[in-house]
Amino acid sequence: MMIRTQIYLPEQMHQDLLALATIHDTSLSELLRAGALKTIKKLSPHPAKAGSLSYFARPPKAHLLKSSLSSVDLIRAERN
Amino acid sequence: MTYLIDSSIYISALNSDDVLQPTSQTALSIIQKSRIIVPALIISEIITVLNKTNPKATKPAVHSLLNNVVVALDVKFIHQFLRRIPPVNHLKTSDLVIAITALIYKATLITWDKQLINNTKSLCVAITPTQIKEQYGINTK
Repeated sequence: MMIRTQIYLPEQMHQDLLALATIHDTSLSELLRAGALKTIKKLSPHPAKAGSLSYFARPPKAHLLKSSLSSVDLIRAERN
Repeated sequence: MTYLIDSSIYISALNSDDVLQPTSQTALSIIQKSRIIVPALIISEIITVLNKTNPKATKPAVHSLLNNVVVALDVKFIHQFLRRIPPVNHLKTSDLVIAITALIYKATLITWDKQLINNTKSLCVAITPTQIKEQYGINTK
């Protein structure tokens, strides 16, 4: 499904895109969609990879720490 | 949902002497498929604490955290921080950086730190792992 929208382009950019569309046998819309897709890929944060928190949810026994201080106090000691 | 998990939760999940460890681990399991925001500041705090308590855990912990959305303390962040810093606040710098990062990314802050929850109320939604379990209908008793 496509959504129809309206955008403003600088005149020169519009002319350049129309020229490129002719050269590459495509449409102005197709070129704009390709540009939008590149922007989405570039600016979107990377999605979390599987297991990104599983280390903390199920840590190996040898990696556990033992502290009489609460975890909040351990962090507060670093922050304050 | 997007979450920002405070250092206290990660450390609690690794601390076998912490009575809150099982709840921290369960909450992390519940939200592990969500979008997780990790400020570079939190990674630095975790490195510091683990180096002092169990250095074996430092590298795997960091590698795990880097698989999420890491927010650098860079020029872009400084500009966003400047736009959002409240004129009056009683937060320490680190707490403010964490709260404003949650605000920027529209993330729910999860922490065991009551001081952080109380002081960030005007900036972001902050809850405990117990509340995460309740939200997902997991028995907290």
